[in-house]
Amino acid sequence: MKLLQSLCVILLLFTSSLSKAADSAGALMPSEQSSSEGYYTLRWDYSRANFSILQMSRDQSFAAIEQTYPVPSMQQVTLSGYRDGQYFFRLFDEQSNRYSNVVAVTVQHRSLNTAFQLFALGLVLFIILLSILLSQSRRRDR
Amino acid sequence: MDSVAISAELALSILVIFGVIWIAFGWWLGRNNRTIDDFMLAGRNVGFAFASATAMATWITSNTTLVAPQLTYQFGIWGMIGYSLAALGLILFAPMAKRIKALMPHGYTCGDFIRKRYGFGAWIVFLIVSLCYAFGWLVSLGMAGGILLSSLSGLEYFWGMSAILVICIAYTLLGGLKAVIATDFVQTIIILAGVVLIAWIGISDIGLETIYTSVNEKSPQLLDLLFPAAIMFLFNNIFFGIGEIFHSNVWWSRAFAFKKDVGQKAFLTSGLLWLPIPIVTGFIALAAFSLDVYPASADMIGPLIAAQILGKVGAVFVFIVVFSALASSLDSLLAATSDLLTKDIYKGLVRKQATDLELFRFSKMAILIIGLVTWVLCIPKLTTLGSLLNFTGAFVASTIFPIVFGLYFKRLNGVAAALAMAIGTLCGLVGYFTIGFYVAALIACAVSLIICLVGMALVNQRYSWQQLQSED
Repeated sequence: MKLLQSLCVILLLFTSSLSKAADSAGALMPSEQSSSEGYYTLRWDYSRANFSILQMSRDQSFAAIEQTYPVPSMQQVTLSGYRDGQYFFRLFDEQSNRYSNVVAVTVQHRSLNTAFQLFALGLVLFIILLSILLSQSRRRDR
Repeated sequence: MDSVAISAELALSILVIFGVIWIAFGWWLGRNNRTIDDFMLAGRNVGFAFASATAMATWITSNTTLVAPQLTYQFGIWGMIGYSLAALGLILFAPMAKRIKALMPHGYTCGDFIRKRYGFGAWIVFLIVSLCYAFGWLVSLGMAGGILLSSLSGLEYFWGMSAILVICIAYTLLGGLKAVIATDFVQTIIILAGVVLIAWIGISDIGLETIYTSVNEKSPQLLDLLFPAAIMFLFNNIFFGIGEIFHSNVWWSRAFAFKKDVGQKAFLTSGLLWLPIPIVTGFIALAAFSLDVYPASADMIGPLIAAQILGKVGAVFVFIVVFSALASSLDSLLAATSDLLTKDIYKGLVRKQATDLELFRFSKMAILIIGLVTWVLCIPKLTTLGSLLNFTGAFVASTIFPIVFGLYFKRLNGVAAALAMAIGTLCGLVGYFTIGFYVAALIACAVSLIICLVGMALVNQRYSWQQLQSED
């Protein structure tokens, strides 16, 4: 009896893992990601639906759809230019009226202070380089 | 949106026709190559028009036709401006080209300079840096060929990449630097005409106001001048461009090949002419939002938009323009990397007594080997073009100050130069992986400068410039 129970548990675990694998193979991915630059890539792999539109909303329930994007046939899209905030995405199949799962993207740009520090560093390096090249070239020409 | 604008058969036909033309041209130009100087340095006799065209065409590459739109799509206004400032590399190399020709009138490669100026240790570090960069750029060009064909025709990445590599290897093999420079001249005319036409049609068809409104509505961060990652990217790209040109044998071989007094004028002219091109090609990417075209991968945005604006005939035109841009860089890089392998590794390390004929034969074999290695590395398509190119930024930017100090000051010694390149590169790579691809070159350059300055403060070497003209 115990052996039968164990077999049933193994079978249940196996079928459950199979169904999870099938779901994840068909999902909009990744389910969560963050971006420090405001651009990111979403991928999907659906054989049972013909998704042609990606919808974006600021709330998970998609009460208000803020943007729609026609998506490429390559089952992957790269979006850019997002400000700080959390964004939710799902795919929509116009023919069968079906939706994919919802994924979340959190955009948190890098600190402006760090950016200006690196900008200043770049400017100083550039001035040093330019000064060397200009002064040395003039000196050699003379 | 369907990304396929032309059929795979049409794309392959164009590729074959242009391939045959370039290969035949290469053979015709190279039929009188008899010596290693003819093959590697086009007889050291290149005049101003060809010199300017080859410098400009080589610098118009996947960088300008595919990566400039990619970076505009990712970083907006700063991406576009930052990319165009890569022209500073050519402009600042102008006085250096004159100095290089004066110091080493009979030189062959940048490796020659590093070995004679800094010694064996620094030379080995430099060769590693230089070959890592050369293969990074070569792989990015092969990848760009595959991406171009798959964006426009749906042809598999593998076949597009393989076809472009085979064509460029064939005509470089047949014609040497003469073929590279002459095809660059023709390719420059095609590229300039194409880029101007695409931008003009794009702006007149869509309108600047529509483009601005769409970007502002859908991707507002791209118009924000206080975009942190893009601000970091600006000087990073400038130093990446400067590092690419200052250290690479692609540009040194041109400095050696150009007639006396031509190099400075040619590099300055080509830099100034190149400056607006990334603005034009990058600007095309901003039309994505008004056309509702969103790419699978950011590096596909340029050809996708151009094909959308110009339709099927336009897609053919875009294909020819980008193919020309890729070919003009790929051939130059193949030739220059082959020179580096031939003169620095084969003659420098393997067979010091090699005759000119042996070197001539080896340089051809080197082109084949480099082409094969590039093809293998291109197959997995590990990352986007922008990320791959900027990975090499950590390597090249670390060489800027060792080369500049080496050309103008006697004080910097080999140990400091080697440490500056090695530690600068490592720090740049740490920045690449911990912060982002847009800081690697800047960090590498800063660290390298500090090490050079410390090295010069600690040791006062009195190098004799005459050693640069000595035989090995």
